[in-house]
Amino acid sequence: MTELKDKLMQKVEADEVKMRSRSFFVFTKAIVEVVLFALFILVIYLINLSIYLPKRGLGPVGGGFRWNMLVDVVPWNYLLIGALGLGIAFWILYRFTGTYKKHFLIVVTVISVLVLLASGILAFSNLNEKIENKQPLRGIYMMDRPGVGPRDGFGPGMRNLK
Amino acid sequence: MKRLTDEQLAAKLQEGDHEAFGLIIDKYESAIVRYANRLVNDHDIAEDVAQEAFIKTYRDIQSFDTKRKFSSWLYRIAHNEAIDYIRKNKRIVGLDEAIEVASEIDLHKTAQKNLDKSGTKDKLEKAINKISSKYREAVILRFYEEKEYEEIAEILHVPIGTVGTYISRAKKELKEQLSDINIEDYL
Repeated sequence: MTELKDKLMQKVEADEVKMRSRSFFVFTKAIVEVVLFALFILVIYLINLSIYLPKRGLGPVGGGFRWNMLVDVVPWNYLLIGALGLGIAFWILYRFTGTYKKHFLIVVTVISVLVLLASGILAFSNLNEKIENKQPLRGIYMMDRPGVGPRDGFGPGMRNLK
Repeated sequence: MKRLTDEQLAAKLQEGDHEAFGLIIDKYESAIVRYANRLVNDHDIAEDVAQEAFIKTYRDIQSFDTKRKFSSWLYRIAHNEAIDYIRKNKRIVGLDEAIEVASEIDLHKTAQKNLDKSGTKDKLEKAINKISSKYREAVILRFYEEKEYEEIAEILHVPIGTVGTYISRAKKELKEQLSDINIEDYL
């Protein structure tokens, strides 16, 4: 028996090294999958908001389109959190799943396109209109309203006051 | 038990058979120490790395899918251990410096032993130690550990196509360093 084998077998026999149970790995895998799923749902929802809120805020534009107006109605905080969430999701995918077998840049590109597509479809569906006045989501949709959000003066709320 | 395949031994270990673990160590100890030594350039550290790799193999054996190749899984663990060691010790001794010193020592030792040889092999080894780490890892696994591209991909966690790219780029870098040697004769 070699010295290394001797040391290792002694550790194992003395129970100094414990074998992790199969359920530990099943649980870890399940956690990773749930976190990934939740992250993608969150990212899709936030990007959907980043499309829907400016669309609602600008409304039918009369008198021409203005970039500064668009910049002002885009919920940058949602967009930033969405981008951050997407970054974390990619890191989890790379670190804990078998995506390394594919070219990661392709994986990132395909998933990003799918997330944008799903967000776009969601933003142009009537889902947001259905849920925007319901609690607890109301606050999320009120960020561009006067006195609630940081951008007073824009959005349908302001128009309604006129 | 000795006639069992690696994957069958792993399955036995998953059932709690310690003898299977002993047989796995018997079979892979020298290969893992040698591989770790190629990455960390120090035999004592390589033994520590191998020990830690075997401990993790035992600890995480339940996560091993017996339909996969056991040796790739074990090499992956050893690879991670070696890379972790290099990263942790970068601050103390720069990797390049460590490689340089280790390869100088290796070169000196080997040169003394093989005075009859032209030193080509040593030059090549020294040059391998100087190329980018990801290319070096691929070269070590392909030409010293004699692993197939698929296994190297599993160990390095890269797509199979990338392994080919790493190896051809490694050869290109080696050719540039060793213009007087025909690399193809050795790799």
